[in-house]
Amino acid sequence: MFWNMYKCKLLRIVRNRYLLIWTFVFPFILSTLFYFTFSSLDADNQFQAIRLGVVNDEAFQNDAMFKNTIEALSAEGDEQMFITSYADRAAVDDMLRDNEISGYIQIVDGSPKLFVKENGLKQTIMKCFLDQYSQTKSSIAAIIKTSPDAVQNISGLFDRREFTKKVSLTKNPQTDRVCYFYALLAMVCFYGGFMGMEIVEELQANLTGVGARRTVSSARRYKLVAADMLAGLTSQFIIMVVLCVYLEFALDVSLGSNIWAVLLICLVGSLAGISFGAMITVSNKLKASTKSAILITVTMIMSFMSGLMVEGINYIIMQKAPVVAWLNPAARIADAFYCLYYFDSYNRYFTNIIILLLMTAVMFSITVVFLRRQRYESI
Amino acid sequence: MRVFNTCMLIMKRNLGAMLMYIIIFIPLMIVMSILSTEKYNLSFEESKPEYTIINHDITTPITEGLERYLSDKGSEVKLEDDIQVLQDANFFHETEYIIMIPEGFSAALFTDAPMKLETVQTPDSTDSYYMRLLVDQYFNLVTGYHKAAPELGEAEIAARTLNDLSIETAVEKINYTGSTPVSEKLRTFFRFVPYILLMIIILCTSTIMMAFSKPQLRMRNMSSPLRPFSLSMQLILYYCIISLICWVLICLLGLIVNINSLSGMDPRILALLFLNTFIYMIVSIAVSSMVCSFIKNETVQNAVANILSLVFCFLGGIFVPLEMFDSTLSAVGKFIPTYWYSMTLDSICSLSVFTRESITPIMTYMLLQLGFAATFICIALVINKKNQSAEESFGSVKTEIEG
Repeated sequence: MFWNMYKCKLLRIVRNRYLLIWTFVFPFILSTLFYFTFSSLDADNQFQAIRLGVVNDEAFQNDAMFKNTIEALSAEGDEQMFITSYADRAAVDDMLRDNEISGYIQIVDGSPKLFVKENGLKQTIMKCFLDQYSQTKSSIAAIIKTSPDAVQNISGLFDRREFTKKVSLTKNPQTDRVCYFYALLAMVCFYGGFMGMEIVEELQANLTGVGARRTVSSARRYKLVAADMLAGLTSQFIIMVVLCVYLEFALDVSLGSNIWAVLLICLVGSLAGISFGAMITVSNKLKASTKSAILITVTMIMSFMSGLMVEGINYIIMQKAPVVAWLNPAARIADAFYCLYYFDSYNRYFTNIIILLLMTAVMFSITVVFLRRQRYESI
Repeated sequence: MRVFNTCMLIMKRNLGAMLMYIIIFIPLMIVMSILSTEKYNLSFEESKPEYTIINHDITTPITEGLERYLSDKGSEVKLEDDIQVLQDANFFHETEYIIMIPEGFSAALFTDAPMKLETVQTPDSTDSYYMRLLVDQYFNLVTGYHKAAPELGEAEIAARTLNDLSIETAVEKINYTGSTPVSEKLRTFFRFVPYILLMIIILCTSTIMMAFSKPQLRMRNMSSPLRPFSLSMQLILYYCIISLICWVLICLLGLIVNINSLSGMDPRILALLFLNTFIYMIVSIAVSSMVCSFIKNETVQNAVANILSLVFCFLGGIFVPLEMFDSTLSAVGKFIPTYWYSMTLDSICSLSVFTRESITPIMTYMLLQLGFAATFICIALVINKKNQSAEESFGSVKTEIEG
C-alpha cells in the first residue's frame, strides 16, 4: 500500500510540468547563464598593465632617468606595469577624455605630474609609481649627503628586491565565481517548496479533487503524508544531484572533494525546502496563486541574502546581523557548500547541517499540527 | 472604453502579484545603494585597499613603521589570528591582503638571508599588486639606509624611511564635463531597471492577454457590435498606459533612492538616462506582445516572465558589466536588445562633452533598441494573424454536436 502510494505520487510529480519548470528547467537555464556571464569574473580583478600617456615634450626627453624608468616598466613581459603612449599634451588629453588611457604624466618644473579623469586603483598605482620614483631619488640624495662614501655603491643600495612571498591558507583558491552557484543550489532546494505545496494540496479535501478522494480513502493519514513526503524528497533529491553533477562536470564549478558531504547537504536542503513549502501551504487559506507568490518571494529574498545576486552579501549579513544569517536556511545551505569547497575542517559544515535539520523539524511539526484531525463540514 | 475599463479591473484584481516584484526590487535597490557609498570629489583621492597585519614576531621600530606607512595608504582591517576567520575574510574580500610577519623576521632582516613576509591575497588581484608595491618600497628603502649607514639604529632608519615615503606626486583631476559625473549608485540603479521593467510589463500585459484570448470570450467579442479595430486600440492603449505607470513608478523609486547622487549632475545626462529606460519600456512592450501569444496559463506566464527577463539581463550586460564579457558572449549579446541598453547606459555615463560625435553613438544604440522593438512587433503581428486564422484558435471549444 505504502509503496503503491509512493509510486503514484512520484508519477504525479514527474507529470507535473509546473513543478518541473521551476525545480528542474529553471535552475539549469540559470546555472548555464551564470556560467557564461561569470566566466570572466575572477579575471576582472586581476592586474593588467595600465594604459598610460606620457607628454613627449622637451622636458621629458631631457630627463633620461625618468624616460628609462618608464621604458623599462613598459617593456613587454611578466613585470610590465604600463602600456605607454607617447604624444603631445593635446593628444594625450584627448586620449584621456575618450577613456583610451587611465591617466597621463607630464614633467612640470623638473618633476613628474599626473593627470587623471577619475579616482580608481589604476590611477592610484600610477601615482604610487611616481611617488616611489621621487622617494627613491630623495633617499639617494639623503644618503649621498650623510654618507658620501656610499656613492660608489649607490646603485647596489636600492636594488629592487621582493620582501613578500605568497602563501595559501587552503587547498582551493579564492574565487568570486563559486558563491553564485552555491546560492543557486540553495535556491533550488527551496524551489522544492513547490513539491511541498503540491503534496499538501493533494492531501487537503478543500483544495483539490484528489485531496477529497484521498481523504475518504481507507489509507491511514500518516501513511499518506509519509509516502507523499518521501516521493517529493526523492524527486527533489534527484534534481539536486543531477544539478550538482551538471555544475561539477559540465560547468566546472567545484563542489569540494567529499561526495558524501555533497549528497548529505543535497538531502537535508531538499528536506528543508519541501517542509518549507508544505508549511506555507497548510498554514493559511489563501489562493493557490498567492501561496505560490509567497513561496517565490520568500525564496528569492532568502536567496538574495545568501549571495545569489550580490557576491559576499551573505558574509556582510553574517558580520552585521548574525542572527538573521543563522536563521536564513538558504544561507546555511550555501554556506555548507562553501565550507566543503574552502575549509579543511567539517565543523562549520556540520553546524549548518544541524541548524537546517532543526529548522526542518520545526517546519514539519507546524505542517503536521495543521494537517492532523482535519474535518470538513462543507467543501 | 468598455474593454479598457475591463483591462483595468483585471489589473486591479491582480495587483498583489504585480506589486510583489516591485516589493522585491525595493530592498534590492536599497541594499545596492548602501553598498555603493562612493562620493564624488573634485580632487584626486587614492584608493585604499583593505589589508590586515598579523605579527608573529616581536614589535620593532621597523615593523611599527610599516604599520604606520600602510595605515596611510590602505585601510587596516583588524582580524583575529584564527585560520578560519582569515580564510573567510580573504574569500569575501573583507581584506584583500593579509601580511603575516613570521617569527624571526626582524632579526633576519639585515642579514644576508632575510626572511620574507608571508602574504595571503586574491590571486594576481590589482589590490594585492598595489599592496606588494608599497611593502617592497618600504623595505627597499629600509635596507638601503641600513647598507649605506649600518651604524644607524632601527628607529632612525624607520624615521628616515617614513620621511622619504611622505613625498607625494602632484595629481590633477580633470573634469571634462564641468558637472558631477554619474555616480556608481545611480548607474547601478539604471543597470537593473530592464530586469524589473521587462518582467512587470510581461506580467501586466499577459494577464490581460490570457483573459481576452479565452475562446469563449473571443467568440463573445466577435459577435458583439464592438469593432475589432476599437477592441485592439483599447488593448494597445491599456498596454501603453500600464507600461507608462510601471516606468514612472520605477523611475520615481530610482529618484528617491538616489536623491543624494543627483546634486551637481548635468540634467541633460539625467534626461538621456531616463530616455534610455523609456526606450527600453517600448522594447519591453514589444517583447511582451510577442511572447504573450504563447502564454495560456499562470504557470507559463510566471516561467516566461522570469526566464525571459533573466536571459535578457544575463546576456545583455545587466547583471554582469559588458567589459567582463568575452568575445563569444559579446557576439551573442548583440542579438539581444538589453545589450544595446547597456551600451547606451555605458556611453551616457562616460559622456565627457556634448558634441555631435559624442552623442551619435548614444543615438545609434537607442535607434537599435527601437529597431528591435519594431522587429518584435512585426513578429507579434504575424503570430497574431496566424493564430486568428488558425483552426486551433478555438480548438479547446467543442460544439454540442462534437460533444
